[in-house]
Amino acid sequence: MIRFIIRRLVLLVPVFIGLTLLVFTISHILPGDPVKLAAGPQASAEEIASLTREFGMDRPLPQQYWHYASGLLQGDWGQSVLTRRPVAADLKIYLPATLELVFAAIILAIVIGIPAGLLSAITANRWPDYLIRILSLASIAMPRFFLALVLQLVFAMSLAWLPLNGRFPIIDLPPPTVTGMLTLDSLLAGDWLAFTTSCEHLLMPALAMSLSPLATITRMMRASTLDVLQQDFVLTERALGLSQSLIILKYVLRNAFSSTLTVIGLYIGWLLSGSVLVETVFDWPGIGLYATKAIVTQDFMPVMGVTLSIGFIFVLVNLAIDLLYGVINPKVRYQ
Amino acid sequence: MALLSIENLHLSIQSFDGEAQILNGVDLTLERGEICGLVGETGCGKSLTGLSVSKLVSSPPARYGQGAIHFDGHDILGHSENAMRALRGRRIGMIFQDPTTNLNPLFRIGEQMIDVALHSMGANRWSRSAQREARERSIAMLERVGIHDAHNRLDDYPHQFSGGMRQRVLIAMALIGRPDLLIADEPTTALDVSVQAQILKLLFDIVREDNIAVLLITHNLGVVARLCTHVAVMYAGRIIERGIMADVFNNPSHPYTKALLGAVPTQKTRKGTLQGLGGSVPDPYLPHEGCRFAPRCALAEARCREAVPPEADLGHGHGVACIKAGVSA
Repeated sequence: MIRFIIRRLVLLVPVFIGLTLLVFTISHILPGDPVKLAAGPQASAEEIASLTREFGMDRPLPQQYWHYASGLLQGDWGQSVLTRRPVAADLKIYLPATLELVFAAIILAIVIGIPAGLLSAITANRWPDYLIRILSLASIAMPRFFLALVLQLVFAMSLAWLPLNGRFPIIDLPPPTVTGMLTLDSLLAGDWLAFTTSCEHLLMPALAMSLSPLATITRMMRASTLDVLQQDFVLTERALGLSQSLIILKYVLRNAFSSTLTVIGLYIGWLLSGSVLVETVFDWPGIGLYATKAIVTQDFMPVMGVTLSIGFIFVLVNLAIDLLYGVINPKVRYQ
Repeated sequence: MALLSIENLHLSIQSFDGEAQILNGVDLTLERGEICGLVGETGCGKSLTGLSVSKLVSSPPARYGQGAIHFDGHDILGHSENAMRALRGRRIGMIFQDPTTNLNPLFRIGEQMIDVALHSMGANRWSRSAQREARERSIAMLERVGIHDAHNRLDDYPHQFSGGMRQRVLIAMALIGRPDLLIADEPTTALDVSVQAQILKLLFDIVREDNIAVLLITHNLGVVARLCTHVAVMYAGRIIERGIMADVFNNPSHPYTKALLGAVPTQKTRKGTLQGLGGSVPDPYLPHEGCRFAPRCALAEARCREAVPPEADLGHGHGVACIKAGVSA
C-alpha cells in the first residue's frame, strides 16, 4: 500500500514535466504579444522591447522553458505581465477560494445525491422515484449560471436570507489564514461568527455548482443500486432474515457506491476547470476568474500556473479515489 | 399437523408479454425430519415454490391466486414482511445454487455471518455481549461445517475461499439459527462433482442430527435416490407425482415420472439406447385446459385434454395426478 502510493507519487514527475511542456508550448505558439497588450496602445517600440527583455521573452524558447521549469521548483511560478504580481502569490489567494467552492459543491452533491439515488432505486417506478428522476433531469439540463441567477434573485434579492455575492464582508475581520479556505480557517481559529458568515457566502455558489454532479451522482446511484438489488447475495440476505434497512444501508450501499466513486473523482476535475461561470455570477475571487482575465490579456504565466495547479490537484484527487477503491473493495490490491 | 403444507398454490407473473401462469395448483406437505426432493425440468416452478415458502417472490410482478401455504400454523401468504422476517433465518433457512454470487464480495465472512446470527438470536445489534455471542456461535457453526481455523477465517473475504468452502459458509449461515425447515435450491449444481458429494454429505449429516425438514430442489435424481425420504415430481407448475422416495422410484405411476427416470443413464445403458422425452414444456402464457403433460404423453386420450386430472392416492401417501395412473406405458 505505502509502496503503491510512493510509486504513484513518483509517476507524477513525468506527468508534470509533460504538462509544463504542453502548456508552455501551447501558450507560446498562440498568436499575439502579451507584452504589447500590457504596455498599452501608446507604448513606443523601445518600451515594448525593454519590457520584452525584462520578462525574458527575447530569449529562445528552450531557454525560457528551462528558466520557467527551474523557477517552479524554487517556488517561483513566474510573474504576471499585466499586474507585475508573482503568480505564486496570486495562486495562494485564489486557489483556496476555488478549492473551497469545489469541495463544498462536491460534498453537497454526495450528501444529497447518494441518499436520493438510493431512495429513487428502492421506490423504483413509484412517485418518489419519478420526482427524483424529473428533478435530476431538470438539473442536468439547467445551465449553472442560470441557476446561479435564479438563486440570487430568490434568496438574496427577494427573501434576503443570504448575501448576494462575494466571499466575506469587507468590513468584517476574516480569520487568520492557514489553509486559505475561510470556512476551515474560521473553524481552526474557533471563530463561530466568521464560520457562519463564510458559510452563508459559500452556500449559494456551492449549490449552483453542485447541481450537475448532484444529478449525475443521483442517477448513477439509482442505476447501480438497482443493479446490486438484483444480485444473488441480496436474496440470500433477505432469505436469512436481515432487515431491509440493514441490507440497503450496509450491504447494498457499499456495492453501489463503488461505481459512483469514479464519477466523483472526474467531477472534481471538471468543477475545478469549469468554476468560472459560477465565480463570475457570485463575484467569487477564485482561479476561474483569475484565469479568465489572464487568458483575455494573453498573460500566460498565470494561465500556466492555474493549469498546472488544477492538473496537480486532479491527479492527487484521483490517487485518493484509487486508494478509496481499495478501502471499499477488498479485491482491489495495490502492488 | 404437517410442518409445511402447500395447498393448491397458484402463482402468475405479469410481464410485457402478458401473464404467465407459473404455478398451477401445487400441493405438497412436509413433516419434521422428512427430506423431500423436488424434481422437475428447468422452468417448471421448483424454485418459485421454494421462494414462496419464505414469501421471497416480489409481488408485483408476481401475483398469488388461489391456494395457501401453512408453516407450523403460520399462514405464510397472509403474513406481513415483518412477520416473515421473524421466520426467515430463525425457523426457515435457505441455501441457493451459486456460492460465488450468494456471498457479498465486499464484506468479511464474519461480518455477514454475525449479522445473520444476531438476527437469529433476536438480539440487539448494538449490544456488545450479543455481538460477542454471535461471533462465538458463528465460529462454532463454521467449525461444524468443516472450516478449520474458523476463528481467523471469519476475517477473510469471500474471494479468499474456494467454491466448496463458500457453500459451506452459506450452509453455516442458513443453519446458524437452528431452523425447523431448510429450503435448499440446487445447493451443489455450481460445484465440482467431487465437491458435490462432500457438501451433500455434510449438509445431510447436520440436517439429520438436528432433525431439520428439508425441501431439496434439484435436477439430480441420483441425489434424490441417495438422500431423500420423499420425492415430489413437478411438471409445468404442478406436482404430478409425490410420495415416499422408494415408492415413487420403484413404482413410477405418472408417464412423466417414468420418462424422467427412464432418461437417467445407468452402468447398463448401452450407447444409443438412452431415452429422451419428445416435445417441449407448454408455453406458460397460453391458457390451458386438461392435463398439461397431455401433448407429450404417449398414453394421452381425448378426456386427458378436457379436465385437469385430480390426484389419485395409490396408498402410503403416494399420489399421482393422472387419470391413467397404473396403466403400463
